[in-house]
Amino acid sequence: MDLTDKEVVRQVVKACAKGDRGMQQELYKQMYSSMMAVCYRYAGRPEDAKDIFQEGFIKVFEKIDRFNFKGSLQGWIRRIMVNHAIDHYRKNKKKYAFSESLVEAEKIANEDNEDNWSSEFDGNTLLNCVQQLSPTYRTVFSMYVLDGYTHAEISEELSISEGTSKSNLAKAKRNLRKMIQELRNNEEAQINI
Amino acid sequence: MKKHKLTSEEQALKTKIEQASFDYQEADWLNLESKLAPKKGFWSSSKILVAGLVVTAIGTTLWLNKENLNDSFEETNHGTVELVPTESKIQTINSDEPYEKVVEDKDATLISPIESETLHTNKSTESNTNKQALKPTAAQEQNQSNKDLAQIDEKSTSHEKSTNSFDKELEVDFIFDGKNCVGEQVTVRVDEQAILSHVDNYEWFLNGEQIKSDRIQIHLEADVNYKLLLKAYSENKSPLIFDTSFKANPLPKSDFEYEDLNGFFDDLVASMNAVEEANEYSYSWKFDEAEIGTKSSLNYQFKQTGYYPISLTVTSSNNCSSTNTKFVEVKEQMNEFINAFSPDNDGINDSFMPQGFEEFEGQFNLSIYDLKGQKVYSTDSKDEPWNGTFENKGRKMPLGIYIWEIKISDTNNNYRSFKDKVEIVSFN
Repeated sequence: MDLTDKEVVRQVVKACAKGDRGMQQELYKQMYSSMMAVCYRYAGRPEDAKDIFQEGFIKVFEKIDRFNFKGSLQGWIRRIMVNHAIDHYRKNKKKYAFSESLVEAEKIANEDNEDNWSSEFDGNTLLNCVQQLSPTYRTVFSMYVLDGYTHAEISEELSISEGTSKSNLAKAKRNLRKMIQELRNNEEAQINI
Repeated sequence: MKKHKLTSEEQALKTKIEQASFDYQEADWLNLESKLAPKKGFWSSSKILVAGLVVTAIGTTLWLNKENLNDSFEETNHGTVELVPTESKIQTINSDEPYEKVVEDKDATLISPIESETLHTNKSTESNTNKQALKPTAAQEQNQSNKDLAQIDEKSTSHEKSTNSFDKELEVDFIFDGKNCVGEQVTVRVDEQAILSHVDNYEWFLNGEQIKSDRIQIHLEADVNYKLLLKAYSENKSPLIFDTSFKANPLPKSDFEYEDLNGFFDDLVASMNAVEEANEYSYSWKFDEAEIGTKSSLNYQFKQTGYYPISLTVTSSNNCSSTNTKFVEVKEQMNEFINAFSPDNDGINDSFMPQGFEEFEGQFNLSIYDLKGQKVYSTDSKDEPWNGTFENKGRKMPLGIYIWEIKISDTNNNYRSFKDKVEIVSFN
């Protein structure tokens, strides 16, 4: 189905709101890959990503009758997914420790290089790296880089200071760089064998 | 949502990560589907009292047979449906003896309905060793139930202790709210006031698990045997147990297949067929809110090509229904027409006749117009192509664009026309 066609969207939303399983499945199928990718960013393990995804979709179907046709349906669903993922993080937040070291953040931020260091790896590989970040780094990184939140918004959503958000982002990137460097080393090692 | 600028490093990462993809897994959908709320369409209509199951217990412990009440939600004239246990389903312990043996076993463990068959047997054997009391049979008591109930009330208020004793008849109605269909939600409850006037308390069990609520809510799944058990107990008395089991009626399949027909007069017609066909099913095809068909198959003529949501609702005789919506794609199945010719007598494209009508046997007309709308050629024969001159015999028409139109009709007065442009690109 073509979700850029407003009439199609209208029909899809109406049928899904009525609980039409066939249409719900079509929508689910269509959104599967992109929304799963969204959930992966916020989850430490594939199973968690799937849980967030499934729960998010239950919300989508529960609330779809409230979709107001402003903006795209895809964007709306994505918003629900991201919000649900952030909720998930918040619920588990007590378990995670925050890094509050601002000074360190400034230092690391300057390490940013313009080297396009991720280019040789595909999206799924990089997403795997994101998953391996600690929960807070991962959440801040995903919100800021992938889902367009500002540090001010992240600070509000996660109840942390803006400084913490910045510092966590910098550390997340530093860790990602490390992981990618390791991937590279591994690949070189394999070639040498 | 882009409110801030990313560094080139971040942007590169973002672009890459957004390319990540995941293969669709049907199992995930099935898993989700089982968690979705029952369909709103049926549920939002006011709750219907579907069934009142009257189970009559006489004496202390009484078992209902564990037979399926699968199709027992039968409709009555009042629009409600009664769940009627057949006679064989009521069974009392040792009922062929003039008196019932009543097991005095106040601490009887809660009995899982699944195991009840076995437990029942155990009980019978145990009853030989346990202290027993003799009770009147069902038949003797049934006639005077009302009187007896009154007496019981007196007794219970007077706190008279009678150890083995339920010399009374207790009726428990299992009240089912909802539709007995897979995917629906039913609530099973009892008339609390009525039952609590006889016993102190009661507990629900669903498939052996205690439900801590005054009612049981079940989201009905396919092929599951639901065993309901109500255990009612009073101080100093053996618990009374009422149970029943049922399965949800399966939903008819509402899947359908379609074919975009491509004849001249059914070009915009889609032929749709329900996958599951049965006489007791009723079908409702809908397009844009309107019902367009009520049979298991349907040929529907669309006004133009497009991608149309068609839904099919299939309802079975026991009023279970499912709906499926599919996008039906209707394409125009015409050939691409050659859009230029060169009447220069070189043997290649010297004349013009749109292709694709060779097989057509009804009325045919081809007319060619210039861009001012003046007709320059017309024929009723597919074998007379246009040679680029006025009425095929006059002056050569100027090079350039012309409009052709073909009108066809068949013996049933079906009528269609096709229009396109054609260009004369050179003359000799």
